[in-house]
Amino acid sequence: MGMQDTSVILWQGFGASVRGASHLRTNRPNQDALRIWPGDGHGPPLIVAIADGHGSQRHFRSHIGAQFATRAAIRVLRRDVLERLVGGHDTIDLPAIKRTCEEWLPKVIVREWRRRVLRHVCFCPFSDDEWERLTVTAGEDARAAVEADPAIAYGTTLLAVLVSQTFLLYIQLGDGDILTVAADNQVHRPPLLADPGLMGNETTSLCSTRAWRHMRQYFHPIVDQPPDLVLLASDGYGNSFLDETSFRQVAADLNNAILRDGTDAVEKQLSEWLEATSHAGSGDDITVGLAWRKVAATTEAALEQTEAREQTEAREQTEAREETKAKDQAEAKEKVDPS
Amino acid sequence: MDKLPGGALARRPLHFIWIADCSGSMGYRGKIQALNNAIREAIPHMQRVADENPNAQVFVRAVKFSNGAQWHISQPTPVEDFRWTDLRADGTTDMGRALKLVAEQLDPLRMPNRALPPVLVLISDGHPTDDFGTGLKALLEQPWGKKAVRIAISIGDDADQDVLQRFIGHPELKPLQAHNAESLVNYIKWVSTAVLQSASSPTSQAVDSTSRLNVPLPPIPDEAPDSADDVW
Repeated sequence: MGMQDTSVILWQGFGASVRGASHLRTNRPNQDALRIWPGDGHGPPLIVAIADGHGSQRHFRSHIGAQFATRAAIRVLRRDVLERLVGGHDTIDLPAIKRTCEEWLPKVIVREWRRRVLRHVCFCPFSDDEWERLTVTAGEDARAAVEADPAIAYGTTLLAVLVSQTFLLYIQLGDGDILTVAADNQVHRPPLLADPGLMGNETTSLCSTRAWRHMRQYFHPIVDQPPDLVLLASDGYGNSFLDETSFRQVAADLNNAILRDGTDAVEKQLSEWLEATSHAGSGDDITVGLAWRKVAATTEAALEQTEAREQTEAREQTEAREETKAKDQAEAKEKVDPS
Repeated sequence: MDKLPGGALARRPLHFIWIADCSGSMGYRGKIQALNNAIREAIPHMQRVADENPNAQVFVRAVKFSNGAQWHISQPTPVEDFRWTDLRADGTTDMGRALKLVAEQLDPLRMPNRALPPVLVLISDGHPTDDFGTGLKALLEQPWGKKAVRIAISIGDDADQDVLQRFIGHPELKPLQAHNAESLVNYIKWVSTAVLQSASSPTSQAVDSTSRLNVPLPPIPDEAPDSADDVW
């Protein structure tokens, strides 16, 4: 029997992360991170996460902390929200999911990030050079602070969006921007609570004391039309524009470009656009993560996508198994031969 | 797409404000003229630093205080166009009023969130003759006042170190003590270059980190030992 063609919603995630103009001048690395799940960018479910490592002297491993932040967010959103809360239930209780996310998600993400950070410190202890640089550039107080809490060295922000069949979940800790584009091409910000800790170059952080208190989230049940586009950006992007109106225009322009030229064309040009924007604007690293809703699709197309995703997941699981095996072997070797 | 996504691009504004004591005592032993010369000499250095940091748009202006306070250069002037007009000394030391004037300009409605932390440089040789505490309170009530890089230069031994320290607000940073024209030039050059450089390209930091300084400051020039040249 032939499959009935009905319209379903499909999403595609992609993005780019570029080193800022001032980072190029001063030979600093890109301290931002971008990660998308599933790896092929097709959903739902789809998770896009970006992070912006702080970069100042006391946060001297923040480029690594940013990578851990995006990994931690994807792991928790995938395992604890998608698999445990959404998956395996006959009916989806959106109010219960929302409540549960509000209650424990911030703590779980912060805990997962800290677990990764402390594990990294364990395998890659701070070197004498790192301690010396920290002491010389930031003082003894900074050294004492990092000794007391090594996670400070990895300080970073985090922004993420989880797109499922029935809801979108936005989370943000620290500076950066989330914009959405509605069907009428109007640009909005999800109604996240304001964070009074953001001003100038100061931000709340995953390394802050009781960091989970600073994590803001917005749960958006899809009751009618979801947004056409969700844009996550590190603060280097918003800081490059004259004002809020000029920045919001970015999301509408990108949505139009995708509609006109397609996601592949936009993805190909995105890094170049971001580099030019950093050069003429803030000079900071810029990272953009996008979740774009495809206009329409059929169940057959959805089926093809599901099959493609299953193949990607199988490949990712194999890679993860191999990575764990290699890590275990390296750790075993290290125990035998610490040199 | 012919143009970049989004509207008008702009460098991040950095406001640099001189807050200068023009009380009568600044007229003794050439202090006011030394200050005029030092700031004038520092301008090309400021312009060079600004050139090297093209992602910050540096605006300079100045407040003077004696009997009351007023803007000496009221418009935020792009550093490349900045010219110094000599100050003259006369009257009392209404430092509190000067801080109130600055506070008004640091209102978030006038200075957007995307700005870089402003740099405020207070220069004085005496004791405030008005309500300094109220002026300082007004300044620190402004979010940008609190986040500003606040530097104080005392001219001579009679400056009120306590009020200058309260203005700085960070125990690890002390007022810079100028005892002659040469040391004043050095300190003015330091804030115009090294401090401006740090403020122009700051890195982010966690809001509750132990650092009390919003922008990490470069090493302060060594204070010259007492010498026969000390005239203030």
